[in-house]
Amino acid sequence: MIAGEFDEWGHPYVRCRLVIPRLMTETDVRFLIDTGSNITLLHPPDSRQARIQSELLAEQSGTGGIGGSTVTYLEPAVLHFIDDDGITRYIYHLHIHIAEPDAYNDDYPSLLGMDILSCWYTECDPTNGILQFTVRRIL
Amino acid sequence: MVFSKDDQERWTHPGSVYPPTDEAYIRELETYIKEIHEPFGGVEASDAQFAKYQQAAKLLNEAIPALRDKHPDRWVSMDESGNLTVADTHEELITALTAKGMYSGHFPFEFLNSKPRRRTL
Repeated sequence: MIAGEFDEWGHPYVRCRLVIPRLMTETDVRFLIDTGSNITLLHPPDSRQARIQSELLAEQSGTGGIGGSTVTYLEPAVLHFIDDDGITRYIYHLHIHIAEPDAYNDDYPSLLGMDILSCWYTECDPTNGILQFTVRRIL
Repeated sequence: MVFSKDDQERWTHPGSVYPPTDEAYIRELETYIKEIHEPFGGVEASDAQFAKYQQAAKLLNEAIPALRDKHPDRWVSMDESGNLTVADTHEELITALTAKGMYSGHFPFEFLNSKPRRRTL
C-alpha cells in the first residue's frame, strides 16, 4: 500500500514522483488528497519548485470550484507512486492540470483528484495518524 | 489495443485490477517506465532519488514545528541529511538550492506560515 501523511492541521497528503515528458521535467511532489476535485492539479509552488516554464504550456483549460476559478494548462504526465515495500510501483499516465499563477493560488498545495483517488481504497484516520492507500486498479 | 507513446488512452484500462496479470501488458509497462526515466538517468537512479526525497520529507515534517518558531513566514527546504535551506521568498529558496548545485524539484519545501489562512479549495 501507499503511505500518506498528515500536516499539523490534519490535512491528508501523499507524495509521488511526477514526470512530464514533453517538458523534460522529473520532480517530486506532495499532493493534497482532494476528494472534491475531479482533476489532479499542480499549483504554482510546485510548478516553481520544478522550474516549469509557463511559456511552454500550451493547451489552455480551466477549473472552477467552491474556492473560485483558475486558468490551467493541460499536460500529459506520469505519476509514479512507490509502495511501502519500497519495490512495488504504481504508474498513472494522465493529463494533469497546471494552474496559471494568480492573485490567490500562490501558496496553494497541489491537488490529487478523483481521477486517481477513484482507483484506490483509502484509509484516513487522522486521530491515529493512519493514512494509507490500497491500489485497486491502475486507471 | 494499439500502444504508442503519444496515445493518451494507452494506460487507460477501465476497471482493470491491480496488479496487472497480462504478461504482454506488464512488459509494455516496464518498457514504458524505462523510457520515461531514461532522460533522467534511468529507473534505478530515479528510485534512489525518490527514496532520498522521502527521507528528506520525513525529516522536514518532523522539524516543521520548531522551524516555524525559528523561521516564521519564511520558505524552507531540507535534504535527506537534514541540511536546511532558508529564504524569504520561494524564488530565493530555489535560487539558493540551485547555487548549491541542487535541482529544487527533488527537495521538499514548505512555507512556514505563522498565520494559516482559512481556505476552501
